[in-house]
Amino acid sequence: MNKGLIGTILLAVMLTACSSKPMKDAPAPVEEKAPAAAASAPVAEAPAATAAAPESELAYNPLKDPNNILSQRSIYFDFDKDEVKAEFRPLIEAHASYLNQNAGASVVLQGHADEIGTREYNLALGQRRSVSVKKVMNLLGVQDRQIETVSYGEEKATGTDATSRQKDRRVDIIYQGE
Amino acid sequence: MNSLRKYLCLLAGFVALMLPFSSHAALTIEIVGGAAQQIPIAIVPFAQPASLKVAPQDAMASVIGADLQRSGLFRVLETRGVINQPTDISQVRYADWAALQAQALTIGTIENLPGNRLKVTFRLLDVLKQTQLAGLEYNIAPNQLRMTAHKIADVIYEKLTGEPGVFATRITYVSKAGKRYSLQVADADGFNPQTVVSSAEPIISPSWSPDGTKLAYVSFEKKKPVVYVQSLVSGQRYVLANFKGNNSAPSWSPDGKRLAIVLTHGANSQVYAINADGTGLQQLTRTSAIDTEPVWSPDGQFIYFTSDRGGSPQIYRMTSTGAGVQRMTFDGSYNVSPRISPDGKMLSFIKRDGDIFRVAIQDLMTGQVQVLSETQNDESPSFAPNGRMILYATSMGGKGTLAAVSSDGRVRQRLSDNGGDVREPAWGPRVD
Amino acid sequence: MRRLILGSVVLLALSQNAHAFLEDKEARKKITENQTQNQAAFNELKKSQQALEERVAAIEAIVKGQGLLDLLSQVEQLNQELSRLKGELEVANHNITITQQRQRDLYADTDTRLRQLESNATPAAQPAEAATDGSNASQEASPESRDFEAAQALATASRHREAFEAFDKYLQTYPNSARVPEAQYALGYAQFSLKNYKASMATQQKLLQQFPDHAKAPDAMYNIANSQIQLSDVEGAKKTLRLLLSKYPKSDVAPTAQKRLAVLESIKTR
Repeated sequence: MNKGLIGTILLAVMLTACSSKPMKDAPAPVEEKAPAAAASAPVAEAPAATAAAPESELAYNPLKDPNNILSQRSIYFDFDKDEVKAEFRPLIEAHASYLNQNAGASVVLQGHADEIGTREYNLALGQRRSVSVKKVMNLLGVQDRQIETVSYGEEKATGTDATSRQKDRRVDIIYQGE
Repeated sequence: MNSLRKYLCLLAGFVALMLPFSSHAALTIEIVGGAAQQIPIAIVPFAQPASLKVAPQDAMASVIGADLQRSGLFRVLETRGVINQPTDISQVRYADWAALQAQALTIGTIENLPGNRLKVTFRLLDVLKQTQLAGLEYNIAPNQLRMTAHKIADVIYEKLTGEPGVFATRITYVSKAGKRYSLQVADADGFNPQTVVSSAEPIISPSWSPDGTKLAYVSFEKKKPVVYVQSLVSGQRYVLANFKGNNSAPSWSPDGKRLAIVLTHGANSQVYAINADGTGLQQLTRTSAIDTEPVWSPDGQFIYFTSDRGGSPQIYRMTSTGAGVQRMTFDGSYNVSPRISPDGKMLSFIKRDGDIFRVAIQDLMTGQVQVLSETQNDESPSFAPNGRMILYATSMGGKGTLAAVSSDGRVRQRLSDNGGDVREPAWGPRVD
Repeated sequence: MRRLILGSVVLLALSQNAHAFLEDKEARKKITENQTQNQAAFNELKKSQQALEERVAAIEAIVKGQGLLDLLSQVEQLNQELSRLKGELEVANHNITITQQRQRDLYADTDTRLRQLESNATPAAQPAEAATDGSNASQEASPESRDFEAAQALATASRHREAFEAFDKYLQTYPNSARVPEAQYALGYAQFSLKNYKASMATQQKLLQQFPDHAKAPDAMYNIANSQIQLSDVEGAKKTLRLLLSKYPKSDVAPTAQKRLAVLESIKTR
């Protein structure tokens, strides 16, 4: 019991640490112009990083570069649908080619649903969305061992009306170790 | 009689072990509606030693009265106006109670026993026939007073309605306070809530083992759904299923030896069966569709589940080995979360009509469907062990709350949590 | 001995030298040969690499050209369509089952009511005759015929369970009565009304065996056919009706049997 408590506290600490990462804070996928002010600093760094790319692979992380499409991690779906819309194909292709080039990298595709409906069924719906994204990645040559599909169902849903629920229906791409 | 008393003591001791005493209620229950014909009953306050300090809401007569009232089948009469307040059968003047139009009368005493124990005696009397319907004695520890009152209420309920009572049972639910989730177990009246486990990540789908000593549930603490089994006696838990992908929707077989679970690996949700110790995994459904929310029929012969193989989520059943799949619901485009009544005759589920999700019940023989609840966002129905009430989750004012409805739709209860959000209820079995 | 060894060593060395000289020439030749071979192999490799590159480019074109992705989404759409159709089929099959059940119930209900009308018609005529015969007739009725009438009345009132019990008791009490065939038929008919089709068939069969020439025999046979219909044994029912028509062509029930047979024959059996 005590152990469990300590475990959960640890987990809580880990979680709050996670939540400060940019990926969680980025709300919408196609929002290139909005964070212009914030982007100014990384832009200055970016050319140096690309120039030094061969030596300092570690220093430059394309997954974190807000100018790189790889920093976009969410694929959104229509109500009651699990079909990957054409507008999200470039995003998935970019991640697929990153995974193809970095055989050691792996992702968790985390499916989500809005709050409408029952919990276990929404868990299954979220899963189906993550499977849809996985199928596209598989077609683009990504190996099964690099992908795990999981679902949070409606557990992380925050939307309360038709507009705000749109962003609850999504799949998040999360890289191993993030 | 002697062996019965021994048995009751043993039982009481067992319950005490699992439930440290506290008379705090997490849930307050409000009754909406009631049966057409309620049985009028008078419950005289029990005689008790002056040394026994009991809060008014914990007094025997109040607990018994509240239980019976809540069932919707009884009208508990005000007894304060009656001058003669009998505590022994020799003092009973039936005429007084007949004048109150009471059909039944309950009297009783609490006495001190050596070794800090109490003796609770009660009698249930038929006012019209002037006969005793039941009389029992309990030898208990002081912290078992409420549970003993529930047991007495069960005896009264069974004697007067002919059905077993479920007041001395427990329920489980998930409570969310701030960003923390905790799995709670409380008495059926919402008192004595105990935290089984708590986490910063969601907990869903708790399921009682048939003997009431264990809970299986899904926790997201590993950043994905994983199924755990936890003992309510020792508090110890183990991972039942943590396979690649999701692990969810646990449900115990009636013999407690196996659980139906849902796994995904790299594809859509599918139903599996697994031994309670995590061995002997067996895949039961093989479709490219969603198959989830399995539950066993009480005879162990069938597993009912939700599937969208027909283009919309509907309830199906198959044999416990996965053969002979048969669709059960045909009315509407969204029927999920199947539960089978303890007698195996009724199917309760969540039915969507437009934007509204409600608890419905279907007669498995005739196929007749009836929508029971009048709330809107209903989820997770759960039969009481006697099949009379269905406990479920709903939401009111944006907050999760619990509610119950009788399986004939006549009695409705709202159980509101004093603190945060409550959801995912499951009614525990009778443990006698 | 020593000389011999020395000599042979020198000889050996010489011969090797000569050999080496010869080999040098050979080697040069071989090297040029190899070179040309290598060149050929290299060209071959280059060609196949080119071919491979082309093929990879083609595959890339397929992948990048969204062909496969489009195919995937088409497959998904087809899957969805398939599930939808499957669902519709499930509903349609369910509706057929329900309709069949309802039709069967409706038929049984109508048949029961018609039978009642038919059996009412005769008893209604009898009291009238009895009245003309003399009013003491009913008063002088034996306990046997009183029991029979009582049982008959229960059947007429659609109290089938009680009628069944009454006729059963009648048959046990008066095993040698002249009305045994009638009682036997009524017993079978009560069983039929209680949806006890198999038991009903057995009862009527017994009647046919014991009293093949009794007036109730064709009725019993007709009743058997109806039980078979209830049990979805259409072929059996047809057989029974044909037998009825061949054995008792002049019976009262024959025209009805004829009609029913025609209806059954219009149903195509699977």
